[in-house]
Amino acid sequence: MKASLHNFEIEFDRLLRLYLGEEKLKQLHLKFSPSQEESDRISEMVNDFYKNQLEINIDNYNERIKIDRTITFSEKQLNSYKFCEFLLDLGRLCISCGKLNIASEIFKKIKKSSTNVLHQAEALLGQANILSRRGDWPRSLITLADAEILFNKIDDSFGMAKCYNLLGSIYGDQGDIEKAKNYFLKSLSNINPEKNLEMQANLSTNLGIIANIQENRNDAHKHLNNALVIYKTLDNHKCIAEVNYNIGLTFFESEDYNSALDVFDEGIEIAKNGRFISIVCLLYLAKSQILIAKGDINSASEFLDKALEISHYVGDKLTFGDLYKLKGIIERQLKNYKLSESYLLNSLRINTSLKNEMNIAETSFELGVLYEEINNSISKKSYLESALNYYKQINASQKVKAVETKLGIAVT
Amino acid sequence: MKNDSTSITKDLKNILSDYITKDAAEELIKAIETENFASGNKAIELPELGRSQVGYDPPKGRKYRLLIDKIITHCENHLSEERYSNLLLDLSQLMLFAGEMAYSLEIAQDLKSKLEWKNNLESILAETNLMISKIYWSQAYWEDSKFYISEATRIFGFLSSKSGIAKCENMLGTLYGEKGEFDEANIHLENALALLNDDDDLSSIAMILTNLGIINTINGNYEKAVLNYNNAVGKFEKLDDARRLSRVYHNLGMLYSQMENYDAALDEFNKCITVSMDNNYLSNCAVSYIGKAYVYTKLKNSALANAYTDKAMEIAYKINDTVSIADIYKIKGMIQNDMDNFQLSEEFFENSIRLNKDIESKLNEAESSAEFGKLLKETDREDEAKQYLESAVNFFNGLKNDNLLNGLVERGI
Repeated sequence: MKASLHNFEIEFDRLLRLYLGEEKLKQLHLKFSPSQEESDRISEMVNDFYKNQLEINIDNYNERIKIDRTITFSEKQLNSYKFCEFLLDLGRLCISCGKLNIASEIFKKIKKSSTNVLHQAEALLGQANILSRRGDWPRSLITLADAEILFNKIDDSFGMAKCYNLLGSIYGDQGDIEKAKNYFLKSLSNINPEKNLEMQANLSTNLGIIANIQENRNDAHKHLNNALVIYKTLDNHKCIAEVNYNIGLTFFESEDYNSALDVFDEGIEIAKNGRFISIVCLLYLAKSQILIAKGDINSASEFLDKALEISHYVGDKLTFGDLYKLKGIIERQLKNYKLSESYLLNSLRINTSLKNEMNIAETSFELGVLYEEINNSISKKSYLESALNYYKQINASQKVKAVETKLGIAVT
Repeated sequence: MKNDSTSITKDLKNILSDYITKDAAEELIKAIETENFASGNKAIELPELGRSQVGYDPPKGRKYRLLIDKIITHCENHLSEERYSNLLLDLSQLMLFAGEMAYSLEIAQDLKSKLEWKNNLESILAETNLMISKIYWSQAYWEDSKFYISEATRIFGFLSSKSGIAKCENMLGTLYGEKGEFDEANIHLENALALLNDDDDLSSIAMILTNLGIINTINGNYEKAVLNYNNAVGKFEKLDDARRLSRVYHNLGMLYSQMENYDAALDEFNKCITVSMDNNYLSNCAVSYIGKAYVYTKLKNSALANAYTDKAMEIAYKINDTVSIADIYKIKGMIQNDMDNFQLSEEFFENSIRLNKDIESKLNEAESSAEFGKLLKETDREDEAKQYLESAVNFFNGLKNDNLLNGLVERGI
């Protein structure tokens, strides 16, 4: 039996009437649109290659059973030190497969069962990582600070480097690009590049992302290709897919859509095979962005809906701001301006609650474009100016130029 | 299409190879792979009600999200701050019952960070803390839950809100109850009740009565428990609160299971499941599926018991209900025992005991230990059986109910 949303709708409707009243409720159009009801199955309108890319089962409780049984078995078989080492590896694997709840349970178990300071520190680092992926910055930072104290205590410079790397990622996710870059460089200075190859590649990737945001495309390519070579040497498929995603983004920003699409497709294949669903989600999102730019709205919508399904499953709040932004752009292209505005405002609200300055600026820009199309010059000006301030702050000259052109500011 | 579980299996094998011998890792994974967990639901004969229950396909959470995100954004500019905050609280609660834990938490946390800077909405801030504590409680994150209860208690105390403090005491009672610390739970529930009178918050009183009903069931005071539940049912009916009403039906089912009145138990579980399926209250569905599976093991109907544990596992996994997952492993152990698959049965019991230890759920740990001890005894492993049976008996000696040796734990409100 397939459960309907009927009763949910009744209850939901009751709530809305209670809070909004009849008049305000009329302003909302909340009926489930056919496209949402239908999006469980992959639309007939996309080609076979895309269909194959979109076929991924994200929810599998049998994997939980396997993981539980493996933990119980290993607890009996291994000494406590080795068992905790095993749990650390398993926790990291679960993070990369988007199983954040199980990963969190595993790190908690390590914290409870081990007295080893290094294990404790690594478990805290794992927890901080999970919290940051859920956009819970305050708790992530507190947990990370606790990990730092422990790494410091045992004079573990590699552990400290991992903390700085995560700090950089957190500030990067909040759009504080300079701070992020400083932490990545600080992390780099704490490692031995020959000994810590994977970490070096991680940091190269992050510095590549920063360079791309700051529009230094050559630097970005250099960093990202360096990382790619190392990951290939290490046979690390998860990271190869992740770098593909970032390389694709540099092509996208340079408007080289075909190259971007090739790299994203390569990434999707790798990530799908490895079931790295968080990365699959990002790649779907990125591919959707390209398809919008190429005018293939139907396929873009399919990839976007699948990304939405994964994001919700993983509890990845960060991606939702982007997802809604793209939904807003699609609806704007279809001239469904009310719906477009609603999605873009959703994106803005979520990015604001995450204090994600860069995404706030990106969504504000799209709102500016929307208001230009519907001749609302006051809102257009306000949103574009807000985007402009941020782009100036991070020295993104191409973006500054694009906004200034929209604002009719003479560009020299 | 490639088997979805291939990759995680490969990764697990790779990781394990670093810790145990390659052969042992392969053997373990092979054993896990070849054992069939979803044991042929389609092949078994199910009555119509059973078919609809086992075939229940809950809605995809992203549909809720698309709708609710839109509402939240829209209402931000159309409602007063107070009404908007209350709406967010209600939406968070709605998502909790729908089993959308991450989303429910996201809404509550966003609200909390908004309210922390306001001076005039402290009472809603306290309720929000309580809401967050509930979300953590439902996933067995006891420490996080306790932290937010203490935050809520502090604010309600500052506001001299007796009903607010009573809600916190009820939450503490529920938390200790779930951990199997019943004396402590009882103290908090009695504290809660003492802070309220009949004219106060009807819903809070009904919740406390339900939770007292659970403690009375566990302590073997069945008559008192029935009185508690009936009293709660009347109040929830008056309030038209289907969510909590169905939770009481579930707990009545547990009571009848304990009394070995299995027909009555099945009736109550079915009532809970029917209401919960209609309204998509996933957490209620999961616990009542477990309840039914337990009854079927007692009635020696392994096929039906298996079908219901598989369905329960699907939902418990989705809503990250670790307490239920540990319970499911125990019942799967009982089922495999009945089917003479002792090795698999042993593994499930060990999983259940390990998980219950991890989440500090003492009653459930004792129940699983008792079942495991029985299995070991049956297979002539008396020495090994002794430690499990003794640990179970030690725990049950602290309670006053002999029937519990075969029991299951109820779920609080």
